[in-house]
Amino acid sequence: MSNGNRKQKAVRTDAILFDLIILSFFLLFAFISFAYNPRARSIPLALGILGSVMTLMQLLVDALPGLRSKLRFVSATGLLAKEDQARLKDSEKPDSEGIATSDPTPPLSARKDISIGREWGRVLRIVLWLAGFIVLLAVTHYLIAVGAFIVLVTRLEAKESWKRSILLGVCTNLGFFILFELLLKVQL
Amino acid sequence: MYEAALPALTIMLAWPAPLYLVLGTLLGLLFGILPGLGGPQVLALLLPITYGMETNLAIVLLVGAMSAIAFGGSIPAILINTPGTPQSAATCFDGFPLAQQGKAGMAIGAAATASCLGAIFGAAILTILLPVGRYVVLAFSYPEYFMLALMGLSVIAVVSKGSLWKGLIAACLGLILSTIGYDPVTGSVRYTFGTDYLWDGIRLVPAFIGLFAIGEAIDLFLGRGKIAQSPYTGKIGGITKGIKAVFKHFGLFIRCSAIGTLIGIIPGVGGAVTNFLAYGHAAQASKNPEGFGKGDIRGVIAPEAANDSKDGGALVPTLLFGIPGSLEMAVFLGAMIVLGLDPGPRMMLDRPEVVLVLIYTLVAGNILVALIGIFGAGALVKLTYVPATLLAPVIFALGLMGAYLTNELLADVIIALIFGVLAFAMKRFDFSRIAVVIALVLGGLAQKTFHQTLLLWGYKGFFIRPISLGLFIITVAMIVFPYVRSRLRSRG
Repeated sequence: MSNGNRKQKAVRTDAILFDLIILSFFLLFAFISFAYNPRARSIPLALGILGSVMTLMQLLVDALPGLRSKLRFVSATGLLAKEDQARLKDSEKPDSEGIATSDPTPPLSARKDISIGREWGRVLRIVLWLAGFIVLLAVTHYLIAVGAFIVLVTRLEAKESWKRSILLGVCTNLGFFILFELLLKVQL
Repeated sequence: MYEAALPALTIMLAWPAPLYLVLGTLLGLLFGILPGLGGPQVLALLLPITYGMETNLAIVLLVGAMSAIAFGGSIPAILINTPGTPQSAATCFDGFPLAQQGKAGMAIGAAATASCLGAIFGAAILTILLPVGRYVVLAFSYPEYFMLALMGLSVIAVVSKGSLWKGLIAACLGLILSTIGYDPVTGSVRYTFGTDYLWDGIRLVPAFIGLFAIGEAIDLFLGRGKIAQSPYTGKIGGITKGIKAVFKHFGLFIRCSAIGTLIGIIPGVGGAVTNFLAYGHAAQASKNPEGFGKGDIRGVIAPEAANDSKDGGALVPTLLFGIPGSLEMAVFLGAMIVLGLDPGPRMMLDRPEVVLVLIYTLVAGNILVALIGIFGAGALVKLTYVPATLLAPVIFALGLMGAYLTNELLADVIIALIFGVLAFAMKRFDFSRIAVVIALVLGGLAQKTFHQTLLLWGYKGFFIRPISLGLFIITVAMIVFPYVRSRLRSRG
């Protein structure tokens, strides 16, 4: 299997996984709704069923691209899709909100040297850093949490120098202190 | 509404409103200049700060920030060929060639003037159209509000540039999330999973922070590197020439402002389309279009005029019907609800001074940002050389702290994190985040009016009232049309 094919397969796999998560979410909500009285459950049950059916079709199309020609409506684009995309240059690819991502650094998935697995591994690491920040916020003063988070993330995750990391940590803390304590006068 | 014009002006000029205007404008300018960040991000981050603030001051801060985004994005578009926001993408086509020819000042001057006057044009149209709200109030009841909410959601999905199907799934997701907590009619508590926190439902502030600030910062952090790649080293001169150019091509300016306002009024279309449409119009309507793309000043005036006039247009459905005209407006709509306002027809009757403060701020913010841009563009563009790896952690910390600040609950921070990851995944797989936001905002209204209609009229209530029926037909037609169109295209 060529590298391109492997990559395509990997991209499909994470999309399928996301579809599955959304599908489970809709099914869970539809199932739980039976515990409520008929009037309270009517809307979430209807939405749960509708969402499940729609996501299931999306999942089928993502998992079995051959179905795309049969379920053409799943691949239909919004009214402005073609007109606008034609106008946009290659460097400004619109996302689902029509927001052109002019950021010259492409998403990792678009860079051939980085696999999908590594991309999601990095996302997981960022989430863990953020979870760590929340834990720090719960057990210490917010200025300690912010300072430690900024210094450690920029040094260990972004591989910036200690000098830059510490400088950024101090500046951010100072900014937060001025904003929260002096301007907004919040007691955190 | 107009009787509140003078009191609103007094509020606007009274201290510390001017300070908030300057702060908001500077923040908006900063977020506009930095590619990858924009209106939704700055509004989501400002939202917790406005918590507990006097309503008018909060509006001044938020609208001040919002008004600066569009022109902020044009500065790097002209100087380094990197649009700060998608709305400024078309400005690159002629703005950057002008900068390469040593006419950066002329381009900046024209962009600033066209933006500023465009915003005034949009605000004027908004002021003329808003009093219609009084008549809407009398004509609307529960079924109309329900159909309006339904139509708002459908419009966003239908006019999106991504997959229509995924847009509808995202809308369903947002709607089902909005059912968490108290049912507005029966009082039943749903989907709380044993936690007291979810009794009030998903709180908008942490959800917005997650969807925009955290999600975008994850994307930014993964991208690494500097935001802008090529430095601008030229000088900025000839600003007066640029200003004069707008008046020389005043007809074009008016036409493009009208295009911007009109596109802004259509919910969901947004600025990314507006600037291309205006640019296309300028090139097509020109007798000598050969200069376009090579540094024609009309190629800067047209998208800039449309860009800023669309904000006034986008506020029309936001304020008149409570249906956001763009992504920024969706977050702004949520912000108004958090501030205790009730966007929709009643707002014009109940809080006219807030509406007018908003309009004044929109105009004042645009004038201010144009002045700052003219005099400080060269220095401001250097902000884009800040590495994303330094910027993203600060956004993470500010976003999560902002989520914590509103109620001092760690659960809010966790919600922001969950929504941040969801936003990143949605962006990655091309699901519309705007549909989720609008569904979260409109979900409560849709549920309440749905049940109230059923109680009063039964299911037929949705179809026996002409406006409700009309809105229903439009909604169905909008959803069906893209499918019919694609079928016709595949046949033809």
